Amino acid sequence: MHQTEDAIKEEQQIMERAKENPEVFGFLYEKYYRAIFVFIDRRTADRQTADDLTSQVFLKAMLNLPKYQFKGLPFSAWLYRIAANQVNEFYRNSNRRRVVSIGEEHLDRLFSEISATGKTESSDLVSYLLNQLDQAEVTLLELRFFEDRPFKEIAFILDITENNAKVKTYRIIEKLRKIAKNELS
Amino acid sequence: MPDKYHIKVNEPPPSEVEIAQHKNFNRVLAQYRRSKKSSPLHDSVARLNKHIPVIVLMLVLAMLIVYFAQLSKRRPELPSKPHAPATWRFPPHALPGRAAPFLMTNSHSASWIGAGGCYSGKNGR
Repeated sequence: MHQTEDAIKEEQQIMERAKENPEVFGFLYEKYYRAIFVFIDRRTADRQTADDLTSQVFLKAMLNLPKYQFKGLPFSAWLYRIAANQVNEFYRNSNRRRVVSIGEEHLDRLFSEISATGKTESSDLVSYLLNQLDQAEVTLLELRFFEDRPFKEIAFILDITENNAKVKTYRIIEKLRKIAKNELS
Repeated sequence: MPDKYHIKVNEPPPSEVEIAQHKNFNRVLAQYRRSKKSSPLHDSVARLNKHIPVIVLMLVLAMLIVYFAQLSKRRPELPSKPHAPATWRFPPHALPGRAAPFLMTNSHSASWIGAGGCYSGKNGR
């Protein structure tokens, strides 16, 4: 979610007030509930789980609000970071297979990026490609290619530097390109 | 090898109505208040957790200091000046103002050696 500097500063003021009065946090809850719910639902494909995890995200945000340090990014970036950790924890504690949701248009973008043009069975190919990656790599791919997030925000969500996020993404693309080349030839 | 991921292509996102059904800030606020009520003790324990290694180290150091202090108290103090033991006896010819002779022994004889010469005790010199 791209926001103007004024909007980010206004959010910052609301957060300061929410530290004193938790009911003020309701404004941020209303503003970001949908985005966080969809973010988690894409990764779990289960509405009830998404509901539970979303509540946990906002609860954790409220409890940790005094520790929050403003770094010029919208408050949503922090919520996404908590949500990503919450999803990871959910999969760590359950034996479920991780869900990766992809839109058709994002699939095309990924294929053009890795130069895989022979997409006769694109869902089979993407399944094969993603299965060659580990969880952290898939998370990075999801944020960058399936959700179109800027590197700065990805870096904040994954708690890495912006440069590191760029380098890692480049390496993943290279890796997928090689795998796709071998698979299609 | 089974697939690691469950890939879903073009899965419809949840509708606004579905999302609105789950949205409930009062529930989160109630959870927050419950967590806050029980948190002071939890917080202090969590804060203590960070310092436990330092506290343990300080306790061990303090115990070592106390132990060595006790040990040095029990040990008898060494005399500051060497003095003659109670059983020390001057040889018969030793005079006040002269350096004290000392007894030199070997397997055959014993001799008093001092500034005034040698006293063997055998020939009476």
